[in-house]
Amino acid sequence: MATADDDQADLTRRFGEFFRGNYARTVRLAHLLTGSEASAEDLAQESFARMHPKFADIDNPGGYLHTVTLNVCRRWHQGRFRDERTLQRAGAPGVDSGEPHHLLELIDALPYRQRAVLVLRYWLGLRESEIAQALGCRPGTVRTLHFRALANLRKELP
Amino acid sequence: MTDEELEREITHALAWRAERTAVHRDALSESGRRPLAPASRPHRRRAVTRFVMAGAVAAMVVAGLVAIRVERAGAPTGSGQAAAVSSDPVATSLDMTTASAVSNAGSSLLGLPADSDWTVTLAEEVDFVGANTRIYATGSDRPETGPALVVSGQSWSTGPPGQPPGSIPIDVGDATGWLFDSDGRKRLMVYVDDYLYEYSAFNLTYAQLLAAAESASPSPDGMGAIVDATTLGDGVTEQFVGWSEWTFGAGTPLRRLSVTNGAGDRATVLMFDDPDLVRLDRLAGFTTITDVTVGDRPGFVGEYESGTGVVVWSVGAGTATLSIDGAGIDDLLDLARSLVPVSEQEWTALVEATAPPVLSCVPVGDQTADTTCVEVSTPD
Repeated sequence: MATADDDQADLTRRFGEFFRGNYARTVRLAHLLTGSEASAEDLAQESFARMHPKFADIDNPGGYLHTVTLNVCRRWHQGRFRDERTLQRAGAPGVDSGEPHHLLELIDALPYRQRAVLVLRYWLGLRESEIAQALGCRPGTVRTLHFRALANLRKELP
Repeated sequence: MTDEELEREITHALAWRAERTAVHRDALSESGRRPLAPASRPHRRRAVTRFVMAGAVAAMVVAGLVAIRVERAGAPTGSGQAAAVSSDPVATSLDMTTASAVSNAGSSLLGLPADSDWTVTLAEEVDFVGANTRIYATGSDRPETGPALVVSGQSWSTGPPGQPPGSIPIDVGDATGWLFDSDGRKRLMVYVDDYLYEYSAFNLTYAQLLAAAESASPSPDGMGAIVDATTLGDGVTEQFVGWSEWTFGAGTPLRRLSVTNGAGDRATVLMFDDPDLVRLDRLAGFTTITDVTVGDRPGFVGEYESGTGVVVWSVGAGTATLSIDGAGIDDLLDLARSLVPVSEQEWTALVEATAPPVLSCVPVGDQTADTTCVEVSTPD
C-alpha cells in the first residue's frame, strides 16, 4: 500500500520532471510577454512556484502553466508601466534593449493582452481556443485582440 | 506589407528573441524542443544558479516555500517586481597590478584592467543556446574562402514559415524548400516536421547545396541534421557541432562579461574554451571580415549587413568575442585590446561580486495574490 510519503515522493518526482522539461520554454515565454530578459527567469520561477501547490490536481499542467505565466507577467507588466512613468517624471533615460528588430519594440509597446495573443499564436503555436482558455476569455475576444494587434503594428510600420 | 508578410515577420522576430533568451538552467533541458549539447564537458556551474535551482525545488516541495527569486542588481526589493535592466554598474574592475600575465598565459578568461573606463555590470556563467548547428568545411584558417556549409536547425511549431522574399520554392526530398541568395551566400530553408533547417553555403554550387540537403538526416543526438560531406567536395569534413547565436559556441558554461561605460554604451564579452572558434566564426554570416590582432593574438572583425560588428580573437586556449551596442569598429577594438587575462580564482570572485541577491518570496493571502520578497542570503 502506498503511503503518504510515497505519494509525496511521487509528486516531487513528477513536479521535478515537469519543471525540468518546461523551465527554459517558460523563461522564453516570460521574456516574450514582458520584453525583459532580466526579469524572465524570476517570472518563470514564480510561475512554477504558484502552480506547485495545485500540481497534484491539475489535469493539463502545460496549459495551466501558460495561464499562470500569463497572469504573473501581466502583473509584472502593470508594475513596470507604473515604474516607467515614475522614471519618466524623474527624467531618467529609457531602456535600450539593444535588439535589432524594430518589430519587437512595437510588439513590446502593444497592450498586454494583444501582445500575449501574438506570442501565444506565433511563438507557442496555440490554436484560438487554446489561447482563449489561457487568457480566460472567449475565442471571439481572441480574434478581436489579434485583429487589433496587427492593426496597431501596421500603423507603426512603413 | 501583406497580412502574411506581417505574420511571418512577427514569427521571425519572436523566434529571434526567444532563441537569444539567456536561461541559467542547471541540468535542465527543454524536452521536445531543444536538445542539450552533446558530450557536455565537466564544468563549474554558476553558484547563484545552483543555489536557486536546488533551493527552489527543495523549498517548494519540502518546506512549502512558494518561490525563490533572483533579483538583478538595482531591482526594487520587497515589491515582487524585478527591474527591467540592471542599471547600477557594480564597481568590480579587477586590480590587475598583481596579476601575472605569465601565470595566466593559458587562461581564456578576461576582465577589465583597474584603470579602465568601463565597469563590469555582470560576470556570469550560462548555457549557450541558440539554433543547433553543424559546420562542414575544410581545415583552412580562412574557411569562408573554400567550400563550406553551415546547417542550423530550430523547432518551428507555428507551421510552415512564409516564403523568404526573392526565394525560389524547390523540392528537397519530400519537403518544400526555398532557395535564395543572401550576403553572397547561397541559402536554403527547409521545413520538415515542425523543424526549420537553414543551410548557408560558401563557395558551393546550387547542385552541391541541394545534394547536401537531400542527403540530410536528423542527428541521433538531436543536434540538427547530418549531411553527406562527400557532396561538398574534397577535404570538407564536419568541423563543429554546437550552437549558433551571433557566432558559434559549444560546450557549457559560457562565460559572459557584461560591461558599460560612462556614456551608457554596453558591451558583451563571450569566452569559449574552444580555440577553433576563431576560424569557424568566420562562417557566422558576416558581410565583411577584416583580419586584426588583439595583443599578439590573431583575430578578425566581422561586420554584419546591419552595420554591427563583432571582434573574435584567440585568447589563452580559447576564443573570445566582443560586441558593443551601437559602437564603431575602433571602439570595439580598443576595448578588446584593453582586456586583461584573469585567473579562474579572479573570475570566480568577479562572478560572486556581481551576482544578484537571492530573495525568498512568500505569499500574502491566497496563492494567486501578491508575493512579498526578502533577501535571504547571497550565494557563497
